[in-house]
Amino acid sequence: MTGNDDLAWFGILIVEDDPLLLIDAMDMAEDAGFTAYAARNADEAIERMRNHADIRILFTDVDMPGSMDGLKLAHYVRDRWPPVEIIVVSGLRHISLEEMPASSLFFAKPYPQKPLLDAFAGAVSRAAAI
Amino acid sequence: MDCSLDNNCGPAWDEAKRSAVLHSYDVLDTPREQDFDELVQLAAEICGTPIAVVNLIDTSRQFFKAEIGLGVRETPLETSFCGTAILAEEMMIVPDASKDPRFQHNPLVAGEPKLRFYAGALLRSPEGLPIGTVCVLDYLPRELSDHQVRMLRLLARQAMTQLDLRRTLAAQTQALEAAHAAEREKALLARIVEQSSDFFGMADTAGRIFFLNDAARRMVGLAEADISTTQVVDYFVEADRQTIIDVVMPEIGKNEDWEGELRFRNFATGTVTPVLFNIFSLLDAGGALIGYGAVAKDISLQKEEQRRRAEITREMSHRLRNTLAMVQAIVTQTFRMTKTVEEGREAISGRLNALARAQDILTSTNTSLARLGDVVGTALAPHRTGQGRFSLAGPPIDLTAPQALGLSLALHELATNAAKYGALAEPEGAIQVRWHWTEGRRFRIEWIETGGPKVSVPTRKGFGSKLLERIVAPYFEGEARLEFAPGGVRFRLEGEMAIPDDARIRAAG
Repeated sequence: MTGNDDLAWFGILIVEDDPLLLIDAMDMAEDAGFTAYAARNADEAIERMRNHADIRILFTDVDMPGSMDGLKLAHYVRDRWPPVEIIVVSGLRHISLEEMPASSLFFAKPYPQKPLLDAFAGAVSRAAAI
Repeated sequence: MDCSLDNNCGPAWDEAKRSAVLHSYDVLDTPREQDFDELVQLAAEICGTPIAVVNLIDTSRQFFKAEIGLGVRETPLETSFCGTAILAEEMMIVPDASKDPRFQHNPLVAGEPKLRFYAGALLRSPEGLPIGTVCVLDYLPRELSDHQVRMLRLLARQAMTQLDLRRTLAAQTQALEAAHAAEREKALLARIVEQSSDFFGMADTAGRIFFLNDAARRMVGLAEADISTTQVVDYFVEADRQTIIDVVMPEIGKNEDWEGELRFRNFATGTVTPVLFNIFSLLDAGGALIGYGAVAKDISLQKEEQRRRAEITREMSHRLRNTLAMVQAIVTQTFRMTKTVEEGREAISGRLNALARAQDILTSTNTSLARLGDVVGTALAPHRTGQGRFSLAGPPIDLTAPQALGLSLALHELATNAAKYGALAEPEGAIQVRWHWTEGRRFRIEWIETGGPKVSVPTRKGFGSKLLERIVAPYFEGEARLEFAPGGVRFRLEGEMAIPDDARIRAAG
């Protein structure tokens, strides 16, 4: 781990059905110092949310197999765990703001790493302020 | 007559107009008819001449509608007795042409058949224009009695009456035919409207519908219903009604027609039909507004095609973005694990090449599925030298797009490693790739290297190991095992064929 170990208390749940993209996103989060949790579909994601209270950010793809897509998952998480910050990524260009939970962020795939890491950092400072 | 041939004053009519009137009788070059034949018979008998003719004089020729004693039906005007000059007089009598300066040089007078006598009564049309004569001729000089002259005039009027009668009849027939043609055209138009598969409708000036063809009734579900209580706006879905009121009506109010895409609603089922709708003012013969006509074409198929195309475009863009995300991950992953830029550059180009070749297989099939055998063969192609160092064997198994991409990347790593450190680094080395079903939808792929240098476990793990040990297996919801056995590298992947559902096919990487 090359990042800041002080951030290990801050968990990020990464939901992505493609294993390569999942591992790459996990590496990115871990490199930045966060504890990364992985899920390949919404059901796995909800299970991680239930078991890991340290998860503060949901970082999810939209298009994935299973009972819920990433947008439905985002709304579900917003309802059940309101303080969790939500970041949605997708290869679909047309995700309208109305489809997203309030004050969530959207990044198109392939997503730029720097703004994404800034978004993680923003979430950390908001969490610290509480 | 004021004019003689000696002074050069022309005829008292416009020759073109006279010719037009003659042609209006439509009699030139028509066959003999008994009515006219009897007429010349009478003329010859009354006047006691061997020759009698009903002669119609056009600008450059004369046509004999009836004749006796001549045996021809047409002669040029130059040699004619009944030349246009004759047309200048109601009744012309030439007792002896050989003594008349107007005719004595005529070849028919001077030479054979040596005509001498001529008497002609004018055929004058109701418009007052001369079109010919009824005339009698003889080879001997003679005179006509007053009675004979009157009879000849009478016969000329008879001939004219006959011609007029025919012209009137012809005009009536023509008018009747035109009326019939118009009738037929109307019936055809009605049939086109009735039988067209397009919507035809008419509304009065207040927008009340008073006519719909069968296709229209079918389209909007009003087969047997009373349409007289419906208004133009009733035929459209709620969302389009404001467009009708705000855009369409004002436009046709200005006597402009309007065309655009709108949606009909079916009165019976509520089904929506997208249509290309054209509405225009209906005017009567006097130009007064009597209502509105509308033609509409069902464009469901076109709309569906448009939607499908948009979907494909969206899908292509989605796939491209996912592929780019994979490229991005490969690049960042490669640079995490390499020491130098050169090393990274080479590794990246090899990996992207493997990704691209796997994409080629996927785009060449219609099903978004790829055969495992094709994926293996394609991934290893750059390393195959034709020396029989690879043996590939296994049953046909279909892979989803993400599985094909993941497996291609894994095989690329194995082959690259084999070329550097394993079986492909030695001339005697060989690689077996085998796959088979194990249970249900589960299968196993094995990579077995033999004949290479002695293998030791690498000290540094790169993206290749990570890919083989951690990344490829999840594509198959299975497990992978990479083994650096002393006799050669072995790799085993066990997993499950995903049942390709739509979402997964769309994800396609």
